[in-house]
Amino acid sequence: MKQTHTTMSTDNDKDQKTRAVPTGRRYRSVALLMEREGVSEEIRSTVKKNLAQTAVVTQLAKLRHAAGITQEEMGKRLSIGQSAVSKLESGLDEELTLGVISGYIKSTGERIGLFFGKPLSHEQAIKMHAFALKAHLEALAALANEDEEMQRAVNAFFGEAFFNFLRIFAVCRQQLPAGEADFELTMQLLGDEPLPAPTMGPGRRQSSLVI
Amino acid sequence: MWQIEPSTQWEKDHKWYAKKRPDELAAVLANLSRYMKYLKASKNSKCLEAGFLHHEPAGVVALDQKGFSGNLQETRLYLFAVDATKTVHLITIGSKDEQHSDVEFCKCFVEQLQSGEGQTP
Repeated sequence: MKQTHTTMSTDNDKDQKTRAVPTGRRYRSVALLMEREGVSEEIRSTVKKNLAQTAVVTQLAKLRHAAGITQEEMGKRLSIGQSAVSKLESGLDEELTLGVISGYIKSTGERIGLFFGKPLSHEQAIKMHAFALKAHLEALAALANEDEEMQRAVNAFFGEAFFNFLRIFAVCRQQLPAGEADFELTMQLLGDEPLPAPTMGPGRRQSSLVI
Repeated sequence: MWQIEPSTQWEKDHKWYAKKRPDELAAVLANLSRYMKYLKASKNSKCLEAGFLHHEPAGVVALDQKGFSGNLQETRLYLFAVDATKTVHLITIGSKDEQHSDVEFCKCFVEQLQSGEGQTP
């Protein structure tokens, strides 16, 4: 018997689709859409897991789109063909090779950092970046010894970086709940509005820096 | 900034899929998240290319369930991106078997939207 093709040929318990209109509810991300439209925690967790399996692949495809490179062009640059590009961009991160990642980075002129292993804690990440900063600042200081022009440029950069570091610390410090730390760090830039002063807890010292 | 706007049909569909095919729903939603990233990165919404993305008539885009582990049934999430308002309209979700009628349904949605009939209730 010939089967008649209807909208509900395999999903009999679905309601017939009728005229649809936009709901007027707009979301800036899929995460917000799922949260506000009542998608279950279990499904949201699976979405998160799916995205984690494809984070690098998605980033590479995003870089390709941002550079305005088609899959065919990328296939030529990587000498693998368009269908292979489509396949790898539809695959999982674990199927990628470092050669492919490197090819995408060279083709798009961008850079990405990759970490393998368990994620760093916030404290470990801050320490790691602090050591990296130290190494870069030392390299800049060495460059400053080369000539006077370089010395002026590096000096100016050190001042700017110093100010920015302190400002970041002061702003983040103010996000801590009152009474948790034994010191206050506030900054006031002359001619600028001072940052709002946090409430002082008992036994806390205050350090003010005016630049 | 691109935004996502569900339709009244999508409201019904995602509830059905949440009950009957949650893994398929999770897969197409994950691909929607990837599509949004590409959309934000790209200068032209009509030039996006991905293995899970299919360009249908009238500018309708279908995202399938591919790209993740698991043996999932063929599923399509249909949407329509409007560059002028930077809005991605989620129209409906359907199976491969329903593809033909779903595309026709989406074409009607787009026609209504473009004529100004398909306004927010």
